[in-house]
Amino acid sequence: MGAVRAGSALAHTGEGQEGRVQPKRRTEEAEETAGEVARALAALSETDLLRLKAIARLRARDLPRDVGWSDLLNEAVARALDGTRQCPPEVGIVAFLAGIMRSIASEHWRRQRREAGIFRLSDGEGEADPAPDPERTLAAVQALATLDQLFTGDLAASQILAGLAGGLSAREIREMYGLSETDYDSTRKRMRRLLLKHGIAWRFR
Amino acid sequence: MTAHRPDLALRRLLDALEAELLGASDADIQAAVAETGMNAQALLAEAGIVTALNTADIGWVERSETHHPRRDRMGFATLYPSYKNVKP
Repeated sequence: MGAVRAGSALAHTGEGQEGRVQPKRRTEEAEETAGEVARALAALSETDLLRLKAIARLRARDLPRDVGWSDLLNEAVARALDGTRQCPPEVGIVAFLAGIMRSIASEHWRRQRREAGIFRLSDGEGEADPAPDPERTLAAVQALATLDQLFTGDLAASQILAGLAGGLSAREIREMYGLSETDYDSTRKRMRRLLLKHGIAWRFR
Repeated sequence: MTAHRPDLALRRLLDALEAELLGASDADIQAAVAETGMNAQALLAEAGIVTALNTADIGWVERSETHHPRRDRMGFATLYPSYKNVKP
């Protein structure tokens, strides 16, 4: 992990003649980055591997049902090892892979939308959130329902889930549902525990 | 849990829950493992993590002078050919 952080900062430059800093060849940078990523992955603790598994399972909810979490993780690891992405110095390897998995999911739906030929005049070039295609909407509704089901019977958790889905801050959620800070914190802790348990051991879907 | 744009609601929710998992302490994870009644190695062996990392062929940089990662066994790319460098 430390190697990734240190190396990422150095990967853009190399010492040239007379101490001048010269750009490295891109392939060289990619190899260096890939090596750092490989070493960081190999050094992951069991705890972090389980964390990664839980994150992959969670993020796979944003993909069609026939794509498993291990497929998503495989692809993220492969892209990280390609060396084409730099791991920012302040980002750990688990967060780095989580970001790649997030990108893969977004990329999938963008591609799906493009291939389905869904374009509207209102869609600007590079628009961050263009209107989704029906398949995307259906998948999202199903995923939201499944996540909601996970917390069935826990009213505070369902309220927090709804608030998070609505983009509310912790304070806004507490105010909206009349939750005390203690209630909010203890509920988030329960949610985290349940998410971890489902993420590392049981099938979500 | 209704939302005007389910896709955006899901994205926000997943981002928040992912942050929760990233911020979970080792003790949280160990407690979750204990609740499953399994040990960490068994949970990791279950269908994936080890395979994923082995498939990624970690260590190729040290072993190879040519430094070409192997990408021919990626499950996701197999399922979704559009992720390969081929035209649909």
